[in-house]
Amino acid sequence: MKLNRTKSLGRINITFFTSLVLCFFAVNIGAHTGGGIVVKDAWVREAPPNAKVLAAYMTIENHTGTDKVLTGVTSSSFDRIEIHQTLNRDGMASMEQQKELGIAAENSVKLEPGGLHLMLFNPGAALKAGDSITFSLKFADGGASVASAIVKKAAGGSEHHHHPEHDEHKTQEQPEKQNKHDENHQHSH
Amino acid sequence: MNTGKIVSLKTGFALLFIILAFGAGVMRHQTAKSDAIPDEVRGLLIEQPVTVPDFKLADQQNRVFNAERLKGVWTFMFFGYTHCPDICPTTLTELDDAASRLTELQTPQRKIQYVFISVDPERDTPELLADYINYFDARFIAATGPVQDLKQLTEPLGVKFERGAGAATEYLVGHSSAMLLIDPQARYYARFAAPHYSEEIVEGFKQVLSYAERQQ
Repeated sequence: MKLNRTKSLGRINITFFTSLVLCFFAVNIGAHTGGGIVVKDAWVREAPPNAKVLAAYMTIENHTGTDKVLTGVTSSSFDRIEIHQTLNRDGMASMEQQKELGIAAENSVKLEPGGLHLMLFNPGAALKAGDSITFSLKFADGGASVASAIVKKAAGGSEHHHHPEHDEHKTQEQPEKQNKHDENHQHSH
Repeated sequence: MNTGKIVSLKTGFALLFIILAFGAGVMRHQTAKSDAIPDEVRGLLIEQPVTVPDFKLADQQNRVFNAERLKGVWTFMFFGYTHCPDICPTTLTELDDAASRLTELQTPQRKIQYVFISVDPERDTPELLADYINYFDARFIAATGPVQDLKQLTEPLGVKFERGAGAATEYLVGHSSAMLLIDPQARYYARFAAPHYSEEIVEGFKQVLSYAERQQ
């Protein structure tokens, strides 16, 4: 009896200690991601050496319980950065500047080719595939987040089609392809 | 009683004959329809091919680019500008991939060329266009010209472009996003709607090509 009791107390102690360690790590992770904003898969499209305007893409995740509003992005590698949305309306492609970008609580926004993107003006130097670029994201509530992006070559609109990465990408891309077919269908009439 | 039976038998045969004849007609009609335009091609073809009008632009080597250069070759034609960071590079990357896959279809009798028309002549000089297009695919042609010369080509083909918002040297340009396919008789023959994916360009072109070659 006595022996058993000591054993179970020991187990409780181990559980308690593990919880403490987990709490410590959880707090630390929170601090590193700038209050629950996580930027994933950030990349800059490599462009011709004389290109004056480039584009960056990424997924911005808001793991906080409050809505966030991205108000600006800066980088020492570019003169100026704007948030843009590519539109394809009535067969016309155009871009529309977005003064800000909302990311709802516990939600994410995906910047991707043919849609939302960062428009990067006047690179300080020609960028090559493999280069790393640091972006600083500023939010309306005064918060900030730092994102590291990799320069990649030849990533077209169907990159996901040739190299599906993970399920999350797949499920997000499929409706897009479906829409495209619908649109084609409409055009044919 | 007997007469009544015979009459109803006759009516039955007549009805059967009508039904069979109607069925055969429908079947023949369907066959004729699929012979005319297969479903895969229907959405891509221009109903009445439009002869590309006389126009005169300059390519990246400052050579004349006109309707003559569209004759005897299939031409993929896409409109954009080099200060376009998202949709133009995405499309050119897809087109480069499609071009590599379509090389196996090329014969001396069946040539294919790829043309990027810049609708931003103010910033896109032939020199800039040369560097730009060579980055994506050195086999491609890039051409432009003064706005009124561009319109000689674009307006009859229903292609639009307009200068949008932005400062003196950092303005945006809106442009038609479709990719045009021009046949070897220099006729606007088929059209691919955006967004462009290389697989769909390749498969669509194969369908259009086999349809066009059956018409000859």
